[in-house]
Amino acid sequence: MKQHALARLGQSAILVWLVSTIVFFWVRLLPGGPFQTMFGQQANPQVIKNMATEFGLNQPLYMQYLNWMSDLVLLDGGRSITSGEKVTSILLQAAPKSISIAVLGAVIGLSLAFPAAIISATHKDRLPDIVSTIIAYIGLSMPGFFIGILLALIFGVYLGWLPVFGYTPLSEGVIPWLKSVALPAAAVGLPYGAVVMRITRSSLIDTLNAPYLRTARAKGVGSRVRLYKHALQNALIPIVTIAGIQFGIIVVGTVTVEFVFGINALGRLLVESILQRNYPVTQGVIILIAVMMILINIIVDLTYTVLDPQISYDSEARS
Amino acid sequence: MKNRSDTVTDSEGVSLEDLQGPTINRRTTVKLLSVAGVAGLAGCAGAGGSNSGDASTTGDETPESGGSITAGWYASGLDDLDPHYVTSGERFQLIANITSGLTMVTPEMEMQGDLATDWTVENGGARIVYKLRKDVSFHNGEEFTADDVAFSVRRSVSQEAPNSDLLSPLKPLDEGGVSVIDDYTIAVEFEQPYIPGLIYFSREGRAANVINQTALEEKGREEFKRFPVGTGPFEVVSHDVGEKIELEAFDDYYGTDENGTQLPYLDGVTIRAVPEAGTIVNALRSSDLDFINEVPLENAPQLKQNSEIVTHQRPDLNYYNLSMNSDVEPFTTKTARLGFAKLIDSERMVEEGFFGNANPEPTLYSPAHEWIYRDWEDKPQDQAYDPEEGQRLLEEAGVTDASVTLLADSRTTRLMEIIQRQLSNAGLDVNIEQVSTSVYWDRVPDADAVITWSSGDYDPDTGIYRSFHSEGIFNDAGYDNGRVDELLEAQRETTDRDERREQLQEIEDRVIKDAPTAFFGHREDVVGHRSHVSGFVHVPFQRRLEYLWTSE
Repeated sequence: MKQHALARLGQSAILVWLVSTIVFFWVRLLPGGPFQTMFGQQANPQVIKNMATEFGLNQPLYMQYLNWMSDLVLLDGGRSITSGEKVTSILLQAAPKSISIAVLGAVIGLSLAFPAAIISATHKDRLPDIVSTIIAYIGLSMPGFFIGILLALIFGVYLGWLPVFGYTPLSEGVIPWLKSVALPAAAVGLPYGAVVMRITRSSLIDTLNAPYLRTARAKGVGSRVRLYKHALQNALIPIVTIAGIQFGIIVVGTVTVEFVFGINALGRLLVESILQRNYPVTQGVIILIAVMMILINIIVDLTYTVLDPQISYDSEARS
Repeated sequence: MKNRSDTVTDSEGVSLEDLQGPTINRRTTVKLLSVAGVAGLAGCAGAGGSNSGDASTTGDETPESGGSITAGWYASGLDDLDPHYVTSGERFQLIANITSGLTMVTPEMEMQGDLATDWTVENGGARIVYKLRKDVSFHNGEEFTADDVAFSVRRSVSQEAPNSDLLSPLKPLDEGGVSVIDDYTIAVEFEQPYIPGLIYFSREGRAANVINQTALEEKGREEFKRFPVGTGPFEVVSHDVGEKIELEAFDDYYGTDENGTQLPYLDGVTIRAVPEAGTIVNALRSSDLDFINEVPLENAPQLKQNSEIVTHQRPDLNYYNLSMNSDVEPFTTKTARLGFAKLIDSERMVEEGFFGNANPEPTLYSPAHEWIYRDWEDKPQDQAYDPEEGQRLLEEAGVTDASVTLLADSRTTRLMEIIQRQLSNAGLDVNIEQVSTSVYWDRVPDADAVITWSSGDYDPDTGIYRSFHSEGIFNDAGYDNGRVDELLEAQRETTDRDERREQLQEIEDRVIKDAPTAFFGHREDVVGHRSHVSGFVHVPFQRRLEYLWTSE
């Protein structure tokens, strides 16, 4: 297990370095530059020269890369070209917003997906299954931002229960935080829940039809025990895989929802920094995303060992 | 002792005598702004254009001090607030609440001292000597002196900051362009008499807003961008980039209202950057926002019908146009360009592109530039919509089978699609190439045609010189007309109002007839707030928060 953990750590470090190197050169290959984006036709040569010197962009590319890598080792991602703020500070402000939306979204999605999937699987081809499936397909076919607009109109504009935009940090109180992320979380959580529901349903149906469950039934094992102890636990491995990957996607892939709710989280930050050619911020966000995706994958892998004791990363145990 | 003997009088009675400080009255200000091109503002300030009888601007109610509001700024980011480097109007609207100028235009349309208490205009209008306030502190507590003005002007000019061209009429700095006479007296000197210079040193003038040197040096430009230190009514206390800016009333602000009440009325304003039209409108409707700096035009009718929301609408100072590159086919001849211009239906552009909130005249000057504006019938009709004549001109130019690629970015795609549809309906092969804004500016010089617009600059010179002078930095069309160059240069030095009007109108006539661009309208300016907010006076471009107050 220890060896496995060290190996994963080494692989992860190499992966992060690769991603950071690729993104460093990729953003500089993009046409256009940061200063013309900032100042348009008023970007005179003197302004460009001053700004390029300020951000070290007048140095040879290899020097820029070496300087950036040496700073990165010390967790210094440089400064935003547009705002002058430290990239680490920007990420520390944006990441909690993304994580808040994603975690609450996942909670909302999973709390709807599992009961719906269980009802659906245990009532296959009957009315509850048909209703659950239709709802899931609606969730799958409506983009998160569209759901967000609908929710904002209903719960923000017409009912006035929840704010329609902006983020309140957790440090300002649980209730204000919860109110500020409730709608965007629901907007990302509902499509997420729909995906998980469909996977859970099909995985559960497969498991329920497995021979060992028919044997258990013949032996008189109760339906609840069969469902929750035997079927669901065995069905969880593909569910966890999909739920984990989807969670990673909603952490950083909610840019349209972030725009709808005026929240400057990681997705919007990434899109705007690419459009502005704000190299340090783009690099910082992509590296953070890579680290987060790696962590999520590690957590998913470790979850397998909990769900299925046959899966082990201990080489001795395997031998 | 002021030198009052040096008097130049224009034909409508604005003399240097009238322009002396400490306050230029409304009548003279209107004339001065007329010279600078903003008579339309003077004529309309505090009047009409509101869906609520404009209760917030009548002055019938007594302003209440205290409280705070949340204001939405229709912008994707408000990250760089350094006044000398700001190139977008919405950011400068905000910065004018943080930094000051030497003079300011009040809501009552009077030109009065801002950081200056008095001034004299000398040498026929080529030199202005400002007496400065002695009771002013910067937000960091440091005392304000003439050195701060000199530093700000020198910084802007020497760094060739994006707005420094507004100071181009100044003499070179080491030859007396700006000189500190004592701690509270400063002189600025122009190469030629330049009466509108008073406007350019005002709070709305952009290039000469006064910042604190110590703060800039201590913070460095990186931090100063987010936390600019000025002498304005509000100071920045927190800045979550892309999300919100907390402005707090500056206790030592020198401004008071006419009753001597300390400004600003509000204790604080939270500014939220909201880039999405639907979101900013929903947030105003749901009370998450109390004020929005710009109502997206597609949502204006919706907000006007809401009894809890007050909207203010009036002509703005801009013009919109399709700039046609005269260096590339099929736009190399005037006949062809006029043919294209006549195929563009500006009435439909206004309906579909501006949702009816614009003036459709295909001309250079907006009705807001009242002093130079002429009725449509009095202007050349060369660009009036006439598809048959347009086709005939294209046939005459031999370009009916030409293929045109219109360059657009996210800001102009919608308008370009309407133009594309209109030109395609006439049988032309028209494509749109949409690129991101970061690529857009690199591509503009070689593009077939792009949409451009002037922002709400008080003096028409700012918009037209850059676009129609052969060496103008915004001359995307490659326009080169010797007579227009001559007129553009002459009008900058003309203090006589009638003479300048004639020069500016001749420029308009020539530009319409030569058609380096196809004009298609003048967008209106729409602002909105909840009904508990009062005090807003609608002068295009200005979003002065110090006069706002709330009854909640």
